[in-house]
Amino acid sequence: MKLGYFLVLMTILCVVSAGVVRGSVIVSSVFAQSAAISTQDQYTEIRQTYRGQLDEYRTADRQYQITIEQYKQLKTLAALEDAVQQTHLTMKLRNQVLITYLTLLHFQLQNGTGINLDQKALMLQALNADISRLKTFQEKLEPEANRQAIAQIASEFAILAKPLENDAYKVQTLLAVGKLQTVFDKTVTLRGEIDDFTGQKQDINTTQRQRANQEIKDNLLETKVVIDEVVTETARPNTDFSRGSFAGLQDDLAQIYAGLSQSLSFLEELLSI
Amino acid sequence: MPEDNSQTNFSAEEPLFESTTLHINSDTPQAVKVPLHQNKKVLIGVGFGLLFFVILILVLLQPRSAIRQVVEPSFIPIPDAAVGPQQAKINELMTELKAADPATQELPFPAVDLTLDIPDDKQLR
Repeated sequence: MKLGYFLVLMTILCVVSAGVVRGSVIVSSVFAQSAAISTQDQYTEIRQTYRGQLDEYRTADRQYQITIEQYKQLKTLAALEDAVQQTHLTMKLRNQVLITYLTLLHFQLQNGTGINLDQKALMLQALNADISRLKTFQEKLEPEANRQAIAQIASEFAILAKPLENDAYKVQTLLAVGKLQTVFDKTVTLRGEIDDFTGQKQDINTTQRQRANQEIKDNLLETKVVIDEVVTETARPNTDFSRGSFAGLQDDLAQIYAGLSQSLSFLEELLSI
Repeated sequence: MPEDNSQTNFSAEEPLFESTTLHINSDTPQAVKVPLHQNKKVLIGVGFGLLFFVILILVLLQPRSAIRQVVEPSFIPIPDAAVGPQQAKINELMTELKAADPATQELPFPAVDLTLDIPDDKQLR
């Protein structure tokens, strides 16, 4: 009898203490979060929202394709009504996706390294303007739409979409080049350090080290030429930054990446000579 | 000894071969039935069951990240002192370069249809 009460009491104590510990952990973590909400947390939060919105858009887009196909085949008023409603909904969701995407891009650019400050400021301004335009456009999408309104919205969005896409790809290029530029700058500094370090050694491999060092220098110079080309291309105001031209730039970026990778491998080899 | 084949005698002796069923008097004391809540074995079993349940709940309430940390393979970096400061910097830069690989875009342009519209009736004809 006593043993039974003891066991029941112990179990209750376990449950209560677990609850208290868990509660205190939750409370402390909430306080910690609220005390130190960093920009990175905000970014992660927006990123999650973006993923959700993109999923929602994809579902709506599939339904849009179905309703349009049905309208094409049936050509009834009911099918038209379905198509109008679904197009309107998909347009709204697309706008939300783009606003959140540009917000994320803005965040990345703001925190990006190795980017020319003037270009950064210019593109941050451009992204803000794009977000603002999309938000204004969102208001137009709020009231119920009919077929004529949908056509009007579609033609207005076509004008808006082109510069928006252009800015997005331009920022993507700036971010990609910026990251590679940062690695390049650090590699140049490190090469200097390794040069000083290996220069102190005087043995039969001294000449070999000097040749290796010269090779690395040349390799880095070649990489620098490609980086400068891409930076100049990005800075040019009339450069087209569509999906296609961005894919073209990828070759140059890949070349920079390969050059840096080789320079680092050479430096590693130089250390062992 | 003469064989006894008399059915009369057999009938007379019949009660002797009857089954001897044991009739227990209702007054005979039986094994004492212990109530379930006083049975030590049952209580211990219930106690352990509850403890197991509490442990299970606690494990399930653990944050997912903590569980994931256990599953993920641990990476033991080679100390910088073992590879030298320059080699450590090279390793660091190689990691940074991998993160800057242009082939892996962190935030590609969303695959949205920028030409959403309802086809014109003329197009359908």
